[in-house]
Amino acid sequence: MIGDRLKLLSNPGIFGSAALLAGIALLASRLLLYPPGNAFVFIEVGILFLFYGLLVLGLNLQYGFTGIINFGHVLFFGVGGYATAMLVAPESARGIALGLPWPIGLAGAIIAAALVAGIVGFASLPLREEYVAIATLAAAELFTDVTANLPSITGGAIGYVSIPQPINIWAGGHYGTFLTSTLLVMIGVLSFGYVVFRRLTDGPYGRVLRAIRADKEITDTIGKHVFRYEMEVFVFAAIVAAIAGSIYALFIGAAAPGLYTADVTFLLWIGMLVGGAGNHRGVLAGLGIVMAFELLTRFLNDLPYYTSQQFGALRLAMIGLLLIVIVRYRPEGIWGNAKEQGIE
Amino acid sequence: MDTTMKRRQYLKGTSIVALTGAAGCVGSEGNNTTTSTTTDGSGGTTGTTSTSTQSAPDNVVFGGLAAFSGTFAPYWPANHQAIMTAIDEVNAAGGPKGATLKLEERDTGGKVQQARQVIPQLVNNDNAQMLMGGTSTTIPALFDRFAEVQTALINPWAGTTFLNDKPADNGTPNDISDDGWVWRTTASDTLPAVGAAVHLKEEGMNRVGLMHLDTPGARSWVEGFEESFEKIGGTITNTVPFAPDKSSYQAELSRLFEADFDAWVLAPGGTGQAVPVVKDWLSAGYGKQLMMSNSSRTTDFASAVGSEGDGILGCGATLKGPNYEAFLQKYKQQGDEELHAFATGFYDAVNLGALALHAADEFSSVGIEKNLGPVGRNNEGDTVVTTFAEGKEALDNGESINYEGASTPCNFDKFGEVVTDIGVFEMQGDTWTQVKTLESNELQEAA
Amino acid sequence: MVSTQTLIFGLVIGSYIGLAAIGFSLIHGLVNMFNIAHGEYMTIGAYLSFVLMNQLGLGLFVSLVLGIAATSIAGLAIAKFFYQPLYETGPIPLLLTSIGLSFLLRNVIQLGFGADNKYLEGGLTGVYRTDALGGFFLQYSQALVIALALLTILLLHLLLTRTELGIAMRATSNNETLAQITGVATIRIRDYVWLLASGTAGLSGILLAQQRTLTPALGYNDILIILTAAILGGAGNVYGAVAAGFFLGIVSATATSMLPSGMASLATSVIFFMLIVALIVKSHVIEGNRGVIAT
Repeated sequence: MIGDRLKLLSNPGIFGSAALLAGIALLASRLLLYPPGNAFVFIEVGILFLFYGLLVLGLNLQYGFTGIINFGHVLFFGVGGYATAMLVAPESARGIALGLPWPIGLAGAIIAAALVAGIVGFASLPLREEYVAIATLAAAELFTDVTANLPSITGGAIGYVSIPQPINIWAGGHYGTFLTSTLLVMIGVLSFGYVVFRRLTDGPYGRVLRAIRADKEITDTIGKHVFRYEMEVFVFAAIVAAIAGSIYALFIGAAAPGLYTADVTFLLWIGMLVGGAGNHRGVLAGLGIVMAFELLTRFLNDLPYYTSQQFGALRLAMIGLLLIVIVRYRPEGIWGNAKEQGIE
Repeated sequence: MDTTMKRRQYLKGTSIVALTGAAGCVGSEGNNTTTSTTTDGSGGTTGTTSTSTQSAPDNVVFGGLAAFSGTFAPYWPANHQAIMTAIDEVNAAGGPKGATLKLEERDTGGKVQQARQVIPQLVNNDNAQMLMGGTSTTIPALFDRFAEVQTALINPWAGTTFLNDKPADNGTPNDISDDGWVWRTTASDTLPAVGAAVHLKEEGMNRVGLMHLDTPGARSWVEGFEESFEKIGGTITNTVPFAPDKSSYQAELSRLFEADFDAWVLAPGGTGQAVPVVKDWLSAGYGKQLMMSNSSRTTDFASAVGSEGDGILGCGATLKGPNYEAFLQKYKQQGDEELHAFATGFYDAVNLGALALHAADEFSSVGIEKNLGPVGRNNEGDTVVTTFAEGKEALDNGESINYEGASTPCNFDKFGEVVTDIGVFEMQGDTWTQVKTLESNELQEAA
Repeated sequence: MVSTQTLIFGLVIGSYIGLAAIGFSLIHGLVNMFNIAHGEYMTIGAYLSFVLMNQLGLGLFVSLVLGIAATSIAGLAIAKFFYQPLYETGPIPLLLTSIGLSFLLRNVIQLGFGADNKYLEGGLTGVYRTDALGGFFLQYSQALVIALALLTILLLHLLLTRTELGIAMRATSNNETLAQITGVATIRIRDYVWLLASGTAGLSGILLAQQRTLTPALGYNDILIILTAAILGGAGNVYGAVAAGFFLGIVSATATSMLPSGMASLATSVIFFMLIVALIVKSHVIEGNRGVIAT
């Protein structure tokens, strides 16, 4: 009996709903939660993982399933964040700020992402794969450049720093409750995201995508309009990324060019490759591994000064090495399927 | 396939819960800020933290929001050395309430996301009772965090004008409900900019061209300058921003010098960006007086530019407070890093924190926050002290103290800002010589 | 009307870009990969010259020669170790490896030399002025960059058209399978290409370090612009890469002198924008054409 109940819980849809409800219940109950102090940094990173998880699932849909090399995914995270910022930030902010309610911010993020993805996808997807990578990378760089240099429109390099934080407000400003409810809510959101992506790729749609990844030309020949599928996948993942970006801006209460740099894209790619592209839970696990590595190595600071100053560089060097090693020796990743990915 | 996936999700869920629980079991002594976001509106030291201990533990940690990577990395080693100079001094005198002071630094890379994680890590996992550092990009975005974690941040080097009107203890040391928890031991970008404006006007330079790096820090400096300069009757005839790390700035300089002016002002956001611009300017031979913002008054800059640059002016908080010379000697013995102006403030930050802790009723971050103001300010009847050892002795004698620092007198106003004299410096050979001092009251009219 | 002076500024910036893009373009054409670590090759050259000039006190030209030689060898060694095993797997694994390598090299340099700003000593000083053509000035160091950029492309041209090696290189780039059949040892050719590409990268790194502050991110800062020039110039087309470099330099200088004041630093954004436009325009050309060293 209990076994059955537990099994029910492990269905991500149900699990996600449970988490989401728990989060909402926590906020509604006005309970003040006190997680132990040492846990806060883990919760913070955990929350960031959940946001980036939405990004990596989308990137995986693009690359792992459809073979699109998108090096600018953080662009849509940023578009979502900025769209929300501009709609929701109080009018006192530098740059455009309309002070509207947050649901409008979220809607705006979705619309903005669809538009931008439509344009970027339309321009880049017809190109050969390594050029798609460059074009998307350039688009993302262009975004951070432009947002940093137009203070009257986007708040410049500082960006927006006082975006209202709905969950924080509902938690009465209490940090412990705020963090915990955000964690629960985001577990719910990511779980739902996972379900959606799974549904998308489990059926015939997923088979077409995989066929596109394996061989674009043949798939085109048998009558599947490849470009249409690619655009759909591109825009869809972008919208998911923008939703994540919107909620993120509402979580930390800020949007700035420095949050949306190529570092994020790089992290997503490493996580995806380590975990195994084409495998939804694999890429989440891969992302988790890399983020855990980064967090835990930050605790290794307690060595003599010379080493701690340089440890930042050492860590980044190791990450670069990790990428090299994965590509060379295990390109399908830990949980990926080599045959599916066309790796001999 | 479905079952493994479900199991994974389930495991993920339970592991998060387990992790949180397990982390909680990993307790730590004394000053864990797990509870108490309650604040006391009635003043007086009530036991706001249920975790406060009456007898001091053996160790106490101050946290550094370090820059081991990123744009500020070149400047951190000197900060570290200044911090360690202070820490060693503090411990040699027995430490605050007998505890040994330790430093824990964690890399923020100058990035908001990373800094956001580093703050709880330092406060909770490392038990830092006070934080030092922060940059003009991270502080505005994370300003609320310090109040949330109830730990003071002393910022010795970021001049962002964002902080100008944010209360530190709001003039009410014992009432922390209105505190912003952020203190600054350097001048905001406004004051040196005002000083530059005043000096140029006094020298009869009524028209000025501006060139600045395209970052929030440099921009805010420039805005301060513009406001003051125009207020006292000057005119700005041209403004040209520039991007970092370009191979040549001749195009920007050419555009700048299309306009007519008596002097030009450069806000380069750092020595690294200043050197190429100034070298290009010297090669081009445009002439005219150059006045630089504070950030490049280093020997590095002077020797990289060479003797052609003699006569270049710089304007900034002198950051040479009452105790500067003594500090410099100790700093040089501590290590080999060349001192830059902003590192001095880190020395003061440590001393202020240690003295505040020693003076506090409760040995905690809240205790520090309540005593930073009293320790730094010049109140009637205070004994003036310049080192931790002196301050500790005075406090043990029941006196109240006024710490006068190496960088500034550290007389915080209610916004946690310090008033400093502004110096005008001239580059001569390998060094910068102070040629004029503008006292704060002189600057009032233009501020 | 763009003044002569602005044009000269543009040529100077363009020379830096073009010189750096030569190596990038060579690799793109002959090894069929984007070497994102190209910036780090430049940085290696720059730090080598720091050691030679600041620490060993050698003169500029000696350091140039030694620096180029050392960087060539280092670049080749790195390529043989990291890239060669992946030659057969296609452009994406190589691209990803180069990104990882870029992180690795950049941070190893930081571990070795520290993150602080360094300045090269012993560079060229002095300025040439004239009133001709409306009046302009040219720093000697700037003249050096322009001269070396042109010299490099000239030497490269001679190599490609007059030597056996060069002809073999062109053959390989045109059609590798055919070249292999007719006895051209492709791996060997690629080794030489790496030597060339790394050498030119080292040269551009040293020249850049003359003018700028030396940090571990020196080359990395420019990688996107270099990439833009190489793509604009056409896959593997080194003449195109240099021309594109000059073009981008002039665009940059003109933008700086003409954009409204508040937006002057958008000059870099203009470049990215042009990259995207170039990619779109060329997309029809790119599809069919593999890397070609055009003559």
